[in-house]
Amino acid sequence: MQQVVGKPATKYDAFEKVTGQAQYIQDLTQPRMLWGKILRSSLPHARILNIDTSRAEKLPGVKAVLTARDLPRHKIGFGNDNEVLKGSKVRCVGDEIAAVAAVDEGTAQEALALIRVEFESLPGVFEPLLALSDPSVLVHEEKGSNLSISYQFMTDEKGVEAALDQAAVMLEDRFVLPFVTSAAMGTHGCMAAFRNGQLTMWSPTQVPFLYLHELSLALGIPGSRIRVIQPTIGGGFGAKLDMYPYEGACAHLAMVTGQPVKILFSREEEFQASRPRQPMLIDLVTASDREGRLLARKAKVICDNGAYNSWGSTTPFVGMQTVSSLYRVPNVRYEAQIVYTNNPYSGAMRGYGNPQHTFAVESHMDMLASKLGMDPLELRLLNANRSGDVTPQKMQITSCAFSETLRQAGENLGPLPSEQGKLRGKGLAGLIHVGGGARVYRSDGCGAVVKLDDMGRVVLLTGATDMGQGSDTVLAQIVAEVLGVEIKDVRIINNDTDLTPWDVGSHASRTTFIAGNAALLAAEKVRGELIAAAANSLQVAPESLILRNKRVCVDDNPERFIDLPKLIRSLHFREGGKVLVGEAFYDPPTEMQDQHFLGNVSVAYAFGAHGVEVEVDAGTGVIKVLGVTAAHDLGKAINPLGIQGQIEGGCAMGLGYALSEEMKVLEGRVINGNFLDYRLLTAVDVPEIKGIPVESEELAGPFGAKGIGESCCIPTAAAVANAVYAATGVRIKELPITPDKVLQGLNELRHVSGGQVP
Amino acid sequence: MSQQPFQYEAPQSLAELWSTLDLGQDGTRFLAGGTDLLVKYKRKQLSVTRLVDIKNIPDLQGVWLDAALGLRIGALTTLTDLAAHPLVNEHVPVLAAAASKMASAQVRNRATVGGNLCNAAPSADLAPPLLVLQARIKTLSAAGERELPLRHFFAGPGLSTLRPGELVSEVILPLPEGNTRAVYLKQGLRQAMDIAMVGVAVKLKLSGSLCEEAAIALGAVSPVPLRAESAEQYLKGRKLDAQSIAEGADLAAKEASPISDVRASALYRSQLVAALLKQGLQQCAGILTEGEN
Amino acid sequence: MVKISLIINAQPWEIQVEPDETLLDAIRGKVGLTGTKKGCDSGECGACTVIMNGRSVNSCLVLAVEADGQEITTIEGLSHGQELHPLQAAFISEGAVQCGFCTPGMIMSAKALLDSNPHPSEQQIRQGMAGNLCRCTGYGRIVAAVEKAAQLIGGDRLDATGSRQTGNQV
Repeated sequence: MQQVVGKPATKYDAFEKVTGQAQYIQDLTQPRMLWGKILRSSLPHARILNIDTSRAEKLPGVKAVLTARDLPRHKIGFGNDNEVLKGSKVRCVGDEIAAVAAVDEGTAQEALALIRVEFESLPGVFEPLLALSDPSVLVHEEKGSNLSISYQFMTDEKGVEAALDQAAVMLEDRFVLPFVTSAAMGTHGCMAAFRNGQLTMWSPTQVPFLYLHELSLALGIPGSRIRVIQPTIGGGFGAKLDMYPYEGACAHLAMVTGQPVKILFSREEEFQASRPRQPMLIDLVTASDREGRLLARKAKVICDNGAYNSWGSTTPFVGMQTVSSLYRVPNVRYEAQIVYTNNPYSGAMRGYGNPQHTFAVESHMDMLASKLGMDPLELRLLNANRSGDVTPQKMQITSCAFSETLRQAGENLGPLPSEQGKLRGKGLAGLIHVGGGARVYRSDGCGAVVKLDDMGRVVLLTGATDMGQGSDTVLAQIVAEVLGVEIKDVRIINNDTDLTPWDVGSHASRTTFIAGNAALLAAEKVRGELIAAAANSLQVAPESLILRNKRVCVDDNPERFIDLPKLIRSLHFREGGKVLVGEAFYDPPTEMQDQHFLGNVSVAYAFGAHGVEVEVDAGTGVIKVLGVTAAHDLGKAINPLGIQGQIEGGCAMGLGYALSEEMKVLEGRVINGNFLDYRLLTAVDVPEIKGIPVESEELAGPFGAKGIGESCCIPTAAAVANAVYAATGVRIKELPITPDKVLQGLNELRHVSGGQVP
Repeated sequence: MSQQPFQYEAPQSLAELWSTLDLGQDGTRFLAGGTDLLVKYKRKQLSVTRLVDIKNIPDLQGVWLDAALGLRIGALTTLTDLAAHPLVNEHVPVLAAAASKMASAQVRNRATVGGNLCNAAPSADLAPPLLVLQARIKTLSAAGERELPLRHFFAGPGLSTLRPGELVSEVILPLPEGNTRAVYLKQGLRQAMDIAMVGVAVKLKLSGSLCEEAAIALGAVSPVPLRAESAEQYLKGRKLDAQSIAEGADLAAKEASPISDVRASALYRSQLVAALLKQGLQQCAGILTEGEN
Repeated sequence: MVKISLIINAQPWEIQVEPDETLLDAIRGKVGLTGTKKGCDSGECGACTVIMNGRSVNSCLVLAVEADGQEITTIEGLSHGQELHPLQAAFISEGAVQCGFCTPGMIMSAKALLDSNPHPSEQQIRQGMAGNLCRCTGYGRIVAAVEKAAQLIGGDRLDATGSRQTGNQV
């Protein structure tokens, strides 16, 4: 019987946060700290002819002005196609041209205005299809083309074509996905201090160790001289996965001036210069037999990469899994092209390509059901993956409660009775996502150290990053459970690369699973030592002992026990004494995909389904979401309270993607970079969200758990589109689903049917 | 903020205001709630050299009933106070409802009636209901006071007919006659914290289902908030039924001259005018009970 | 620079500010209370919400000079020692906090709401908090926390399991 795991736990750092004491990057300061600012390009594509910084340098209070001339010419970024400061050419609005450090923010800002940059404006390319077909404008001339990366996965060409020939039903549609952005409430920022050859960097990065590595490459100093400290992170959602050029500039400013330097993003910069989710064009073909069994799927995807590669350029890895492996489909052909443009460059955002692909695939499932005259739930159940399946990409499905989640979320689908002038309907969409890590890097590991001291305080040193999602609470629960202590006795140290063991970072919904397993293993090692010592002291067999209530006690005779602190002291304070430390490095038994995109990248896969009920105003096209039912196969809910928060927050983000969010980019410039025109849903807009955890007990997961972080935002938009169709008969294939699009669709239907649609 | 800071003054009376106001100086701005002005200043869309905070001037405050003129609303009345004021709720509930739909609680606590009008956004939420209520604007300047109908106040997006050195001191509303009903319907992309894609105010004087008088005003569909006069003419004296309502709504839509912008397309705005107006007319005519729009 | 006097969390302060300095920047930079957050600096996210003379305001849309002589409450003024305000306690127990960046502003808006309407309906809570954006929670836990705090303040008390017991029950 578990004492801590599986029970609602309040957030580990909530006290600091509700009292205003949590320290975010905005709140940090250092003695003699300078303020840094970045001069950004206002042009989307231009050659830099000359930069004159002389006036800025003379401004009183300015301590340093840097341009590309002053920096080592190391390429940076995921594809080594970016630079900290751009010396010869800018490729997008917001590109970093110069960096200033000054005694205060106002002076730094003033200095930016004194820097004169002479540009030769170049024609820009903003449409990925045009960028591919017309090589007259090259974002990176040396590459000879605007195609950055292409991906191709195929089961067997002949098989795909034969299956399409045999198909009773075939659908072919284009789905269009816009720019959206993470819009974390805490904007980006960093602080650097360089002392005695050692760099300390405070950054809200999600991936401290990869960040440290990238920083060392950017700066040309050994990683062994860099320490990364993460302050409290004001939300990440993927946008804090890449090291940003401004962070390299900040470190340089600190080196040059010998004083700590801090740079913060304004909200405007956050919109223009942080990494949004990629816009995609997805041409999807789905074919089935007359009974609805899927025969084949083809997808051709064009991703707007923007000006440079980032981690986001690898999102087709995840998207293709949805095309090939959300349902059983024997014949698959998937192609994606990552295309350079002069737009803001895309990155990672919760779901990592999956929300886009799921929108297409799950819209198509409903369209297929409609064409076959089948119930959308029945069609999905017929094709759903089950435990033991191996998908065409060689993903091994272990625990799988997909069908159960579909049933839970998929009650009462279709049109629903409604008042005059209103149209109601309910739609469904499912998802697959990695749930047991994701081997996209050489290691998918995480280190953990558990340390016990003489008073019984337990400290977990973990590489895992909590950017708000609540992983530190889960890790504290796991350690508390294993060692028989309360959560309050466990301290988590997870924000300082000098103290914490290596971790690949917080991404791919991997932290509960991977860092949880690492913490579990480390805690079990210590537990083993405690049991052995207690068995010796109590003169009983080790198997008869359990840890509970800060004691080691005899399982069937709780009156026989030894207090944990006392036991620890007995180990410390004796000849040949020792400290109690357990370490573990958990790297899951998975493989990287080969060049054909085959391989089991995750130990386990998460499934789920969202059912969304909407009401559409027939006169205005305005959509009101009445409710969301979100059923998620998460293996095991270690913290049910945290799970509710993840599901509700993920659904809200998914609803925003569906209905209201679109970062509008005109010739490379974000034209709605504020919260009035980039509409995050408010408390009034988000309806009741019913989160249903479905526990499938994943054997490889800590206490049976799988990942959940991204899953909960993935299928929402498709479910909304399906609900709008159920309500109105209008099929929207382009996000966001605005009242404008719905009303034009309704008018077309009215036109076709002679006005008989409500 | 990195701009050259402005000079700030907060006169305590009109006399003090006029004695210090330098009309020759460009960049002198009056500060009321500041919820629009400070955003524009920060975004460098507005240069300010001298900021005159008028919030402490008693003459610009208060809501009271004037036997001769009607309801008088001081320009400094905040949207929160407007929405909650007993006199406003008793005599012109449509105005209270419109105020309560604007922005957020925090903004409504600062933003003022006068500020919303002087900002002269085509989408200003108070404008359509005030237009159908036949509001008059009282202005003050060192030269004296002036009164004008609200429909002569707006001159274009962000522009009013205020003269240099002149400020709005109050809004005067004749009390609506009996058998009058009014609604304001607004549509944004969110249900809260949004600027109207379209705002529609309707005021009807009814005798049974006969429309004796109709007043219709539209926001966010032309350079200035405007009255839909041909629709008003059409509805006057007509029995309100499905057909006349649809016809009136379509006429109003034709009077709108919306633009496409980051918030909505011109086509959709025109359609929205008709759809909202239909709802508004139905609500006023009692065909529908008041919805939650 | 202009000298202003104001009361923040019941403590009088005299500070020098630029005429165009916002109350937000003054609170964070001059007074050193960093619990109030800057999320957009345009009054569109609510992270900087404080209570001024009993009303919630976006402190990024108030000039510090306008706050001269006024009384301000920030998130730091809600708790006393280790004793949390019921809203703070409820935000913890209901799981209303994730990254926490919006939390201080949320709590201040909720306090202003409950001060003027001690027993709001769910819809009134959602309307009252609409000026505070949250990217993590989807608001459901936040609404639950405000409802629970209203009960706590209204004289109900919680038993050890966190479920509600009214004072009258035996």
